[in-house]
Parts: sequence; structure tokens; C-alpha cells
Amino acid sequence: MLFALLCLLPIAAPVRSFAQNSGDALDQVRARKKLIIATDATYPPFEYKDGGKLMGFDVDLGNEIAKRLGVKAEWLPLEWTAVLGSLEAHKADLILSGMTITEERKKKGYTFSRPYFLSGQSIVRRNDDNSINGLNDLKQKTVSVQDETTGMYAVQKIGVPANHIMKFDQLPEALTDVRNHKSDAAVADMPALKRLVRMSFGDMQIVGGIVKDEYVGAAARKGETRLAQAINEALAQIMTDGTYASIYKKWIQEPATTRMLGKLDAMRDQGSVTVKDTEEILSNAPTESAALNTGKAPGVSIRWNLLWNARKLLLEGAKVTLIVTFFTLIFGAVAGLLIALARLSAPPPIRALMVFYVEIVRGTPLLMQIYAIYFVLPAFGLSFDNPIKAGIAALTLNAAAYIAEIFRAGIQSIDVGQMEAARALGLDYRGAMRWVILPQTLRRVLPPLTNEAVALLKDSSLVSVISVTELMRVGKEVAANTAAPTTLYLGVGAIYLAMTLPLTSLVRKLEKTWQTDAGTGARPTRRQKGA
Amino acid sequence: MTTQNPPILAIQGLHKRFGDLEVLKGIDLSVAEGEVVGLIGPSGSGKSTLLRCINHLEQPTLGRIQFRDTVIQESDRNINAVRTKIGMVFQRFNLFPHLTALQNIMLAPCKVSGVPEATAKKEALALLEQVKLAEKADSFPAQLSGGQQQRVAIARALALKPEVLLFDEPTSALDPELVGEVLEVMRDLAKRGSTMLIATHEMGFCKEAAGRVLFLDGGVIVEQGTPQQVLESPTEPRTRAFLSRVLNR
Repeated sequence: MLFALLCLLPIAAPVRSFAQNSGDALDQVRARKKLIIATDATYPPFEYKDGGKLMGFDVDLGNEIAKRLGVKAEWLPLEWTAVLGSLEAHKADLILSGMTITEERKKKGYTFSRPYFLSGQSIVRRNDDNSINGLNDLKQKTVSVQDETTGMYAVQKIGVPANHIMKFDQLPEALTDVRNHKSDAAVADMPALKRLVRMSFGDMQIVGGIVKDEYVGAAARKGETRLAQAINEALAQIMTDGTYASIYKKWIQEPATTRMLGKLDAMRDQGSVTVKDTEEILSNAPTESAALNTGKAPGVSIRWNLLWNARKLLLEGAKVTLIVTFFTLIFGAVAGLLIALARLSAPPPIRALMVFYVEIVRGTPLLMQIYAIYFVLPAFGLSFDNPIKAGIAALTLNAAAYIAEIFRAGIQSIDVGQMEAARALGLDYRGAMRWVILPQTLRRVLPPLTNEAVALLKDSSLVSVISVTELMRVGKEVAANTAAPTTLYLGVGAIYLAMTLPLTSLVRKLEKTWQTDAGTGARPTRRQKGA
Repeated sequence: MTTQNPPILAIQGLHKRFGDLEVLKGIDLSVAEGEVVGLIGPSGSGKSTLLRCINHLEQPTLGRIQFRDTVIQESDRNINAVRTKIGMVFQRFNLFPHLTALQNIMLAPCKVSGVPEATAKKEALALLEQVKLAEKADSFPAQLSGGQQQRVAIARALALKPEVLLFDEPTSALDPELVGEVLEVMRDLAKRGSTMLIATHEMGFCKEAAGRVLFLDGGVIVEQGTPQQVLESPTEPRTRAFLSRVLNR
């Protein structure tokens, strides 16, 4: 453990200095004519993917903001926890992801714009559970939430003990947990809940209305007040010229009320930057508040048609999974072989370095390594222009260590007599390795290497956290959009199985072949004597 | 045993120690060109170690080994060149299982000496003919009997046209009925005038094929002479004890 911490120490230090030296984000955005916006594309109606296309309230709004800054918006879809880290890692200029403005987040270093959306937390429960009708009823219950959301904070605040709070990556998963009686209720943003109940959780209902008003804002990096100011000006325009009202109608499927817009304007200083000039943003919005629409929805079953409709996207994801696995395997095998050879015959300092490397990789979670590659390496000027490459790099660094161990064990399993016979013929160490030892090793390591390939294919799902749209990520996105996680995860599992089964049967076949022609050349019989 | 020509191999004061165990305690030996030397002695007496020190599969702890004009040293270039001149046959054959009999023989000529493949193949086939295995050229080691494997291993050792051949108990891992065919090949080599050092338990073969027999025990040469002297009328009690144990088995 200490070992790993010591190794991370030099990595942690330069990150801060890099962030401090980075200059002004607004100038950078204008210079490159691109506003990079991080978002978690699994949060309809704010942002989600439909048919592979990113859309939602925030997406339309973000594009409008960019237009008014005179640049283009570039969207970076990430997992929510990765979205939160994307600013500090200089992966994005701005977060637009239904992010609630809170004092805690301000303290953590996010520079918020003025609020652009009035939301609130609501409670959803099963229709047949009458014991929950308001926030206070949750104290003795188990409540599911989306990790690191204001819904989670609200539940924590009313005193629900930590072991009764179930945290999920995505909201549909939280609701499924309630449906399965594992939790009693879920707490989340009202607009998101409404959509989910309408689409596929008809067995549940929203109770108690909005528990607490919440203001959603765009977040910039710590200290980027100029960028936040520019966003504020753009937002003011959007909110006054009617653009806002039409975006609102399109995605929330209700008119934006005067009451709501008034609240948003009254709270214009809620963000990190004080709004200097008060613009009148109350437009000709209707005053009527639309009623909640909780229509009927299908019950709990596998929705085959959803899988069928998403087949193209899922197969596209499977293709990315195969590509990532393939290249990782190739690079990992080459690197692993070199590491194994270095461990066996390089000078002691290099040997020690390789042991150190292998132990670090094997002793830390792959997920941490992926985050490190994606978020930490850029601080050293090592950046990947596309997340697939970053994913392959992270997986390769990981796989190389494991493959090195496979090769090392393979080489060491070859009888020493083979090396002696080769050397006795006048071959040097390299020649003996090249012509005698490695050809035999290769046959022996093929089955364990194929096993590694199977493991890798499955582990590649972890690169979804850095926005590689491989199979798992596509599954999550479609699940979020269709609100049918059960169906999608079963489907995704089946596709993984379809890819791994041929590999595992190949292993079995290889092992059989290997057993039959495994002659080592020496069949010692009765007398074995050394002198 | 005594010869006017300079020896092809000269060993002086050879010691070999493995940790606390001293296996060779001062060996002096010179071998003339064309001489066949039989090394006998109980297990652990140092026969194998002596052979393995000659081509530096083991690093001598002390002492000097000279092959013709060359002192055999640690340096890689030196040792690889010397090894091409000294063929070795192992107790457990150590054929390369991923190569056919023919390829086993061709490997060193092609990869070490840079002989063109066609030439190497022709010579390898001739060697297989010499060990009477021409029809097994394309067989893999696992498809051959122990005796056949050892004959291929001998052909492999001959491929670089070595000036000295080291045999490290070449028949000890074989079933008794397969010993004969290997000894026959070795007898043939001796007749052709090859210089050979043979660690063996085959007393009959020593008597018939060796020009000189060395009895090793406890890391020293206890007694040496013609096969008749050493095997039939040994002067040292240790030699007598060993021979009576072996012959009355």
C-alpha cells in the first residue's frame, strides 16, 4: 500500500501547478473557437443519446451559448463522476449536465453561472406503498439515489443513515431498485423523475411534490470568472429573446411559466459571479403551470423491441469493444514479452524496475489506472486526442503486466536442458531465446493468453468511464434514454457472451492440442542419473 | 596415452565448487587428437561436471582449460566460437521438440555458422544417414523412440564438424534394448578417428572403444590407464570396489 502511495506522490504534485499556470479559459475558448462542454449523456431530458445522437435541454442550451460566444460547442460525454473531474483535468471548459448550484460545490472550486433552470427534488415510490408521502417519511426507510447528486445530499441531510442510502450510477437503476423492493423510495430531480415514470415506471408515482427548490447552473473551472461572466451574458440573451422558452417547451413538454422565470431571475446572483446589469427576462411566458402527467407505462418485463431497435448502436458498441480489445492485446503482448525478457535477463536495476511496474499494476484497481491515464497524464503534456486511444493505452499498460507474467512463467517452464543444448551448439543467449526457447514458450502461453484476451474483452467495459462509447457505454446510454436498464443490461450481457464464448472454446481446443504434441524431447525412463 | 603431438585439449588444476560442495578438486587431463577417453565413476563423482566445464556450461571455480591454442574464457565471443568446435551429447537428449529431426540438425549450421540452407540440408541428411535415421528426417522428437532421439542428438552435435565430442552419459536415460543402437553409432565415430570424451556406465563399451579410461571419485582422478589396466587389474582399492559394485549388479 505504502509502495503504491509512494509511486503516486510524484504524479500528484505537478497536477496542481499545471492547473495554476493554465491562463484564462475564455481566451483559450476564443482562440481555439471551441467551447468544450462535459456532460453525462444518461440524464434525460437534460442530456441523453437517442439513436447515437446527443440531445436534450442542456445540449440545445449549450449550443446556443456557444453561438453567442462566437464559437462552436464540442460535447464530451462522460460518466457523472468523470464529468465532475473533467474541469480540473483540463478536459473541458464547462459542465452543462443538469448540475445544481450548491454552496458545497462552490467551495469545491466550481465557478457557477447564473441559474438557468429551476428544478427540485422529488420523491418517487411504488404505487402500493402508502407509507411514504413526504420527506419526513423517509427517515426510517431505505432510499436509492444517483451518486453525488443533490438528491443524495438531500437524503443525507434529513438523517437517513449511510447504510440505508443506495447509490447508483444512473437514475433508472435507482428506480429499478425501488421496483425490486430493495429500496423503498428514490429521490431525484423532478423533471428526470417525471420522464422516467411516464416512460417505463408506471408502477410508481411521485409524491410530495417538489421538496426543495434547486437552481441548475453551468460550471466552469475554479477562478474562471471571465468565462462565467460571458456565459451569464449569453444566458441573459437566451432567456430574454424567446430562445429559452422554446427550448423549455421542447424538452420539458410544458410551457415555461412566468413564476418560474421570475424565480430564476430573482436568484440571478445564486451563481459564483454577481450579475451586474439586471436584464428583464420575464417574457410573454404563460402563467399557467401544467399538471403532472403520470401516464400508464408497461410493467416489469424484458422489452425485446427495445433491443431490436437499438441493435445498430449496440453492434457499433461491440465493434468498438473488439477494436479496443484487439489493439490492447497486440500492444500488450509485445510489451509483455519485452518486460518478461527484461525480468529474466536485463541488468539488475532494470529488472527491479520491471518487478516494480508489474507489482504496481497488479496491486491497483484497473479503474484507477484508467482514470490516471486520462486525467493525470495530460498534466505531463501526454494527452490523447481521442478517448479510444486513451482507453487502449490504459488497458495496454495493465494487460502488459499480466501478459509479462504469463510469458515469464512460460519461459521458465521450458526445461533448462533446452537452453543448455542451444548454448552448447554455439548459439548466443539471444539466438537461443529466438530460435529455441521462445517458439516453445509461444505454444505454451497460447491458452493462458487467450484467457487473458477473454478477461480483457470484459475489462474493456471499464473504459466507458472516460467516454469511450464501447458496448457497455452504449448499453448505459440506451438504458438511460429508454429507461429500461434490465432489458439493456441483459442484452449487453448476451452480446459479451457471444464474443467471449468462441474465445473460451478456442482455449479449450488449444489446451487439447497442446497436450497431444507436448513432447519435451526428453522421455526419461528408468535410470536418471546426474554426475 | 603419451603422444608427441600437442594435445587438442589440456586441463590443469580444474576445481568446481557449487556453494559448499566441491565437486571437482583439481583435475589435470590432456587429450590427444583422435583419442577416445572413457570417464567412469560413481554418481556424483564429477564426470558430468568435468564435461560441462570443458564447454563452460559450468564456470570453473579455478583452473585452466585450453582447447588447441585457445584458453577457454568467460567472454561470450570466445565461448561461442569454442562451442562450435566442441560438440555435446546430453543424457536426456535435449532435442528441440518444436523442430523436426532435420531442423534440429540444421539449426546450428544455419543460425551460428551461416551455412546456406540448401547446403545445411544436404549435410544434415547425410548425418541422418550416418546415424541410420534417414527416413525420420521429418519426424518430431516426440514421434521418435529414446534411442532414435539420442542418435538425432548425436547427428546434431556433429553438424558443426566439431573437433571434440563430449558425451554425458548418453545411454543412461535409455531403455536397455535401445542402448545398443546408440553405442553402435558411437563405436562408428571412434573408428572414424573422432576425439571423444565419454562419461558412461557401459564398461563393455569402454573396454572395446576407449583408448584410455579414467576412474573419477570424490572429484579427483583416482586411476587412469588402458581399459585393460583400469577395468581388469585396477591398483586402487576404490576402483576395485566401484567395479565390483557395477559388474555384480
